[in-house]
Amino acid sequence: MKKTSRIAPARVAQTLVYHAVMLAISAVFLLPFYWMAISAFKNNAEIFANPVLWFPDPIRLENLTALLTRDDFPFLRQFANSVFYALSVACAVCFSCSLAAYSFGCLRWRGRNLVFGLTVCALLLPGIVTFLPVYLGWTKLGLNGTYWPLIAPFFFGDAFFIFMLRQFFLGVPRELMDAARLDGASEFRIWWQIVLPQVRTPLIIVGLFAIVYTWNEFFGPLIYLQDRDEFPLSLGLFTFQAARAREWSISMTGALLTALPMVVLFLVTQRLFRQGLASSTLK
Amino acid sequence: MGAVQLLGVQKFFGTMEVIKGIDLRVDDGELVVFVGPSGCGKSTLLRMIAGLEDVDGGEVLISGVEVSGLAPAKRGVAMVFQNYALYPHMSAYDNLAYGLRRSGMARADVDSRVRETAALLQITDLLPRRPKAMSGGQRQRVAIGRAIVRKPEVFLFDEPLSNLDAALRVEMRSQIARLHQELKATMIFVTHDQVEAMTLADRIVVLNSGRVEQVGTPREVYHNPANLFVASFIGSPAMNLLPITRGEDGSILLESGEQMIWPGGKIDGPPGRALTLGLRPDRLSLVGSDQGQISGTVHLAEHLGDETILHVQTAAGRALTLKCDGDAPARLGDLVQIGLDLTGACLFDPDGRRVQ
Amino acid sequence: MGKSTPSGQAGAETLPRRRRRAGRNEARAGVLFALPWMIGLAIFTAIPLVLTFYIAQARFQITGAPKWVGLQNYSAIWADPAVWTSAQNTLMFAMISVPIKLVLALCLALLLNRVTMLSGFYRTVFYLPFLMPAVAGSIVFILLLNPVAGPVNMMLQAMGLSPPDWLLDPKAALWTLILLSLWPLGVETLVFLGGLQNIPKDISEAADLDSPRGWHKLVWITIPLITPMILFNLVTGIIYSFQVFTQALVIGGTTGKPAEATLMYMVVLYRAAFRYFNMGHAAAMATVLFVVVLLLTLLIFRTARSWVYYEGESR
Repeated sequence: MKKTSRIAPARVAQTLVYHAVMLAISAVFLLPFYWMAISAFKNNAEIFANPVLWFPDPIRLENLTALLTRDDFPFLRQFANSVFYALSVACAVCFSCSLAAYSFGCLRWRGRNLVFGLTVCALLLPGIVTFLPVYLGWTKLGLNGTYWPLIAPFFFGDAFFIFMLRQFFLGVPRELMDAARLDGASEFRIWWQIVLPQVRTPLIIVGLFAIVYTWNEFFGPLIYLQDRDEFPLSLGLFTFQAARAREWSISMTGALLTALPMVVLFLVTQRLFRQGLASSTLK
Repeated sequence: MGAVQLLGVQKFFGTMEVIKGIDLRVDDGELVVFVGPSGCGKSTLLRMIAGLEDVDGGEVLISGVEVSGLAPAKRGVAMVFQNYALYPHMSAYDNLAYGLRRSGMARADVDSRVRETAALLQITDLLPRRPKAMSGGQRQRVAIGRAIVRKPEVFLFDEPLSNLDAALRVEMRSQIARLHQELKATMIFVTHDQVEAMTLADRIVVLNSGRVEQVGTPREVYHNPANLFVASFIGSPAMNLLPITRGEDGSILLESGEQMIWPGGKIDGPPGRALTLGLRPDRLSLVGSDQGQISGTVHLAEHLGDETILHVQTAAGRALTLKCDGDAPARLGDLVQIGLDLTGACLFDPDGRRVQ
Repeated sequence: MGKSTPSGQAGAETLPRRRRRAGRNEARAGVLFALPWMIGLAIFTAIPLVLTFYIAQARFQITGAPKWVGLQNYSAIWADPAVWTSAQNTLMFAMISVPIKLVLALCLALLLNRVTMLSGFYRTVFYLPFLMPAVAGSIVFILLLNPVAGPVNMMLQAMGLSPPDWLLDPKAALWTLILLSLWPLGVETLVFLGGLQNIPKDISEAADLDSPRGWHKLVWITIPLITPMILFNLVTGIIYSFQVFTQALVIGGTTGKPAEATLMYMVVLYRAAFRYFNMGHAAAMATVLFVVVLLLTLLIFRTARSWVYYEGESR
């Protein structure tokens, strides 16, 4: 307690300047969020008011109710689609990538380094280079217009998430697996009963990243989905904005409600997100 | 039952031979310690017996059965790992029970076996706890429990005490010795700590770069080292090694020019034959002026209470270690006279082989 | 006893092959666990990659059989002014946005690399934009940069500046995209921050003792030690900006409004494939993108050896 009172004035000034700068930068970064949020509670005239209306007055809730009723922006339907899409991908990724990452991180086999090397290459490959033939394939299968092309590939794995999970699997001590082998556990059982429980948190992290990734995914749905009622939110918002460019208040409400779930998810699970980020970059 | 036999066992990492054809027999009920510097292959050898590493050449027999084709769990062995390798997400009870359940044992039998083992090791109150909530010593006991509970014919210990503090290590050492008495099972214990090896072992196997240097009881290995490596590795402080030559009459000619009679009679070979004399630090003593064979300056004096370890630099530049009484008068920088007592001394030829 | 040691030993080949049970079991499991991914890698990456090069040499309108036309698609995109414009825009975009982003992210990371009561808050703030769906973020930026009533221009005007019409002036429109790309720099920042926090404390303290000047430490100690993170951010940044699509489509539509100033390579590719259904044309564009990105990545990795510092044999 005593210490604080003895800090030199120069230190105090430095700290104040530091926080002033940081708060100013924060304000810049938050401005788009703030503008989006207040615009959702204004009508069009108020959005374009001059001078700027920094706080909505009155606070209008009509945009929210409009979103629930308009049939050119079936928000609830699309919200449900997004939830379904994101959760499916997250589950698929957690399952498939934990298999491959376990193999790359914990087991020794001939050719492992080669396959993992190819995985890293796939990570750097621009998606479009493989996209067209895959698209033609799905079209041929008649699954164009469904969620199959958007979800099914993740049941085989995903280079990024495999890479990320492997970092965690590398941290599982080999002796643990050896002990299980001596205890008579099969290789499958070792994965399921011994190793997976050690990477429970990383799996949740990967799931979270997959949810955020899918929630924001735009290109795939844009190509594969045609029916407005099938769209996820990102695409729904885009088509609405493209068709009704002047209805800013509705667009902003849509944007706000599209972003909000991810923001909330992030705020609740921040620690995990950062942990995941740290692990996805090592080398 | 429970004897382990190695016949020309080899192991390669890539093209490098890390285990170079080892032959060894561990009798039933024996406690054998593999000791050697790090990287000598002792852990690898242990893991090969366990079935965790493949045997690239030769044969491993447990209870007379060739086990190279058997899964680790089917070999009747259990292992205690260096970092315990307890399953972190399971209670001590489940850690003990896991292997039994895998073998298809009935639930009631599992329970009674686990409790019986826990009672033996006095860890009954730890059973509901997870490893995280235990101290190092407690984890160690649970890890041993996990090995015992399966009633294996052979126990394998891979440096199990190296993560414990000194006091606990002594306690666990005596506990393992006691367990060996009670269970009468074969035990193979790997360590780099030669004190551990000396105190625990029925027989010690000294390994160096993938080869067996010597097999013998602790006394044999200490008093009759087979070669220079064993002599310098076993014993703390390490054995003093002095270059000598054979005198005209088969006596010892020290570098200082002093002559001594070899207690075992005459030294073989031609006069002038170069040899190395190995002397334990307790065979060196401080003597009055002009009684000693060697003189030197005290470099470092470690006063340990009941004894003092003196590090002396001789005129010829050799470093010697003496073990003397706790009240030895020597101080740093003193010029001292050292007397040599050749009982129990060893002679090595330039290749490191023991000659007499 | 490195983990990377393969279990099938080369040296052991000369010995009778027999009963290598432990390694064989593990190896079999290893292949089995990796099998779904290997299949996926083949179906969704390897085979399509080859097929793209094949389609690039065909006239192909989705329906009907592809017709072999050799390099005709390549000469068509060579002659297509929209491809050139978009390539130029994309290159400009990448060359401006990536360096600025890295510098800003590094500055932010340096600012964040101290423990204060508000550290958590700042980090959260800088990370948040990354979570914003690209579509939503782009729409918000359109409004923010509105020349009449957008708060950005109003503030700039209040400061006595005469801001451009971000969305209608062809000279400024690319900057809209660049600004938009700079907003979510939280990932890069946190990557740098991770690097900064991994610098061993004793090295940092030793540097403090060696030189009292802060920037000395920055140039000679800090930056060299986080070069791996710089490399990572640079490579991912470049690969990502060459493929910029969503933001460009929202802001410029399929024509790159205004006056093709925001027309990006991926948008033109998208147009070719899914508006005009000229798969051959699109595939040719994709292969060009692939080759460019590949060469660029190789170039960066090649030069990386001389400027990236790896401590010991990290992992």
